[in-house]
Amino acid sequence: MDRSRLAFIAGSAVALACRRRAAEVPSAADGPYAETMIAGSRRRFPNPLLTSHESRAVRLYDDFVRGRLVLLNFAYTRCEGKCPLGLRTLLAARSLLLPRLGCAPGLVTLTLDPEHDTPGVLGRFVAAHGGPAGWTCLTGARADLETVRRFLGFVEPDPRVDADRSQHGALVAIGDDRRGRWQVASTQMGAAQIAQLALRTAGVSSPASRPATTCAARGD
Amino acid sequence: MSAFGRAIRFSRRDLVKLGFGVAGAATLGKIVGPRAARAQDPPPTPIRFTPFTRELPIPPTLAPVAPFATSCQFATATTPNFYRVLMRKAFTEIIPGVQTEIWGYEGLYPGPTIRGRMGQPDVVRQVNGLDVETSVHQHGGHNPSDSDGLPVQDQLIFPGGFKDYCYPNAEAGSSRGAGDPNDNPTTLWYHDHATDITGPNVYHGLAGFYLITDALEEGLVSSGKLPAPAFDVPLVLQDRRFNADGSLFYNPFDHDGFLGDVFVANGKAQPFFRVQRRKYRFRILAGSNARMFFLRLSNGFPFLQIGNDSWLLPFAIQRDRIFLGMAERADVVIDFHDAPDVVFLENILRQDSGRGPGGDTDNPDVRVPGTPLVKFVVEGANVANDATIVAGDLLRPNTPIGADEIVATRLFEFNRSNGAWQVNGRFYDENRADANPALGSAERWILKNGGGGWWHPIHVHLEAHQVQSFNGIAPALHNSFKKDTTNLGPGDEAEVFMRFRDHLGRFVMHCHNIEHEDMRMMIRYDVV
Repeated sequence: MDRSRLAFIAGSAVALACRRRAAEVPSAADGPYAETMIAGSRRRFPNPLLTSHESRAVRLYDDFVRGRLVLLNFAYTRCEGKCPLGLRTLLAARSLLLPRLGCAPGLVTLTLDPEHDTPGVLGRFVAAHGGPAGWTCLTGARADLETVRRFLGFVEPDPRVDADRSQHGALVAIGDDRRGRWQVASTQMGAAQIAQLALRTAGVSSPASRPATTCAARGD
Repeated sequence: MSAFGRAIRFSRRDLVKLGFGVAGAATLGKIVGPRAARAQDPPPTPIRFTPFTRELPIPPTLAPVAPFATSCQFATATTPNFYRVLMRKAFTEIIPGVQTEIWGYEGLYPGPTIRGRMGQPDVVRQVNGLDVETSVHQHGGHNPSDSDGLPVQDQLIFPGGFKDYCYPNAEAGSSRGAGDPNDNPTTLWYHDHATDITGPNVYHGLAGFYLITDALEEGLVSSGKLPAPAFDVPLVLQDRRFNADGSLFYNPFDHDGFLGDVFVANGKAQPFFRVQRRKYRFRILAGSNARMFFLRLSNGFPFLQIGNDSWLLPFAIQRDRIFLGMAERADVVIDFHDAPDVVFLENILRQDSGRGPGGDTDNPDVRVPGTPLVKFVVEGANVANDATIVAGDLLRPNTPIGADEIVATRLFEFNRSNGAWQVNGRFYDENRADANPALGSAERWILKNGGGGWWHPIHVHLEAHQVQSFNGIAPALHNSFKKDTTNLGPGDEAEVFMRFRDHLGRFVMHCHNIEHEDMRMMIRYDVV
């Protein structure tokens, strides 16, 4: 195959991929939920259509959870105190994981303030944090975000406390979809403890047991 | 399908029609009106069965194996008993006619009973044949730090690995002269304690009894005061929730405390147990992750409580009802003389969430009639020459810890913070000791429930604690001696004394609502 033909095919593929991302809404076989195994039970994981800080249309489960290790948390850009602290902890935990896993697992931050946190606002928020690769902020319909929050158990039993969104900015759900293992912890534990928990979640007890595709689903 | 039991399985469509699906449950919540904010309700077990068609199983006693090379070292020259336990998955029948995969010690649910004797060490090699990490805690044991089964990285048994647990079975205090036989334990249990995943590990089956005896207890049995071994029944009460295919349902996103909706005794859903008209000893363990039990007998007969948690009481105490928080044990004698042909052990506690029951420790909310847990089928005529135990009979003396021995007071407040669980405003960190009691000293610890309507049964490793006061007044008589787990209702405060003997190093104290524990409601303390 000559070089120009190869360049044409490659260019077409990239263009096709870009066009698909720009124009198509990701489809999900199971609507707003995706079936997966969690703790040995078949569960319907929320898979709503959301928008990333890059204005990409995405599905939570399909694009960020399926077949990989991931960290999910809630925050909002106007949050002071817990959210920035929690995010710094999670970003630091990812850095600690990099040498152990050979990759930094995805960190997905869902907003608790979707009316304010538009993709543009989230984009500037990520940029202000240095725009680390693998960190995605998501916004969308409040009802969809609430579904995810309740599924993960980021709730307070007192409705008045539950309505205070600052209450939910300190938790992180760490999951490895391949193993069906999920755990929720407080980011106040610190980066080292979060990283250690993530390693155990991924089944990593020593460097020798490092899985090959921890951070990305096969085929990504 | 069994002729005795009937399991009805529902299709997903059937469940949706019945409003049993996750979405259905959420909708139901909206219909019934204002309610506390909650995570998604767990789906109810979609399997129906006829209770009391299966006999209560008695966990088999684990047999010793030939000695093997081990790093365990003991102060005594007495040859240890060696045991080998393989943690593995297996299928078992919990609900009649339904096979359920469990994670069991030796593939059993509950695990085999290990029987030890004071003065003779045990070496227990735990082999991890599961695909999750584990750590095995002997609950109530007085063991070296490295054999405590701690939730710390260097003590975890990863898949394919093993660990030898070295249990001296030595009298507490014996490292510095004569030990105190009054602190010899009897009803212990062993269960998983892996960091952050104790909840799912125990829930899937990793728990069993560890019974230790000594000359005093053997004398109580041989003299005919306590029932003979044939009438000594370990009984673990739990709750479980099932999927339609019979597998266990567990939700790692339920941080309040996970509740099941099927009551299980010794691994069977609502079994029956044939008894003679005589006295039986039952070592009752509240073995759920987050469910408590308020027990009574359907015929109104009382319990005769002879032990609390790991230890025999100084004397037998008659009780009409017994309230147990998670991990607490009640060693009781039930007298079936003159009993009707059928007696039920009932749970009358009203508990609808992992937060705990309503009411308080003195008067928890009840629901009458309660849920029958075990059906006793009482057979034959009254048995003559039965065990002689009656209320007030002396059992094991207690050596009180004097106030003049106390060298330090520490306050531990158990509270919730932003959706997670703390002690004194901090999360458990295995690399940080939050208390450093000195070896050989005694301390006064204040265990305080920070409120919010949550319940926290607090378990202290290594040593018994002696409850001095509960909410400022003397504790209930049965709680006045030795405990290893003290149940704190909303706002409760317990003052306890402890001695720290024999073993240096790391230990922990934590809430035994296991979901709270997994979200770090725990401290490490070091004996120094």
